[in-house]
Amino acid sequence: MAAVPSRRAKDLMMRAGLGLTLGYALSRIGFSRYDEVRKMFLLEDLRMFLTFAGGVTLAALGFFALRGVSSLPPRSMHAGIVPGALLFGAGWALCGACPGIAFVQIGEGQLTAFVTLAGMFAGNWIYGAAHARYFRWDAQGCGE
Amino acid sequence: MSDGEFAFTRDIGAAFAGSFGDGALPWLVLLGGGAMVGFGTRMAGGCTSGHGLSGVGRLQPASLLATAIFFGTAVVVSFALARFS
Repeated sequence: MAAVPSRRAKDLMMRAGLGLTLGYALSRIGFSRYDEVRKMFLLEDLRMFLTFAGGVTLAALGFFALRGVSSLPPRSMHAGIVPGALLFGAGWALCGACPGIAFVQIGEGQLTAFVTLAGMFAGNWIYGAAHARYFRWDAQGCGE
Repeated sequence: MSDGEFAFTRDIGAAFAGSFGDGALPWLVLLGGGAMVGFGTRMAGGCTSGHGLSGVGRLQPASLLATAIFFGTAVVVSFALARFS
């Protein structure tokens, strides 16, 4: 009897394939290299900004094409957006990584990324505790 | 472009070394900067992918705002780092 992958298995394989593709692309473009990211933020080399803009454009086209078929929940304004984005931007300039990039760096063999990732997990955990105690908005997030 | 090759390394790059040198500081920057990223992205409800690609791709105002702020802040902080190192 031929082995047919279950629906869940197919879903996982697709996610793994997409993840690999994204990770490889990010690595090749240079988003996982501190020097390249610094050059982007110093506006010395617009290549990375343009690549990002290209990615956004493709994503926009994809969402437009899928608008009747599938959709993601809308994102609403909430009080955490401005301070959160400020902190994230500053942290990104300092450590050179946004969340996904830390994983790409590990995949490339950058051992220092484990430290970066530990920091991210710690920050995420601290936020959870702070939000439960002090913040009264729905921060939403990806797929929540 | 990078060569996409795998190699174990602890070298982050000349810009990082130039800004933070040796000793304990670079490790603290990775931890602290990472913590700011972990805290800030959860607070904002998204990161470069969630807000930047997905949100902006769908023209969500909240994501346009978030993306403008985190990119803008990263630029300002990077200029400051380059100035003082």
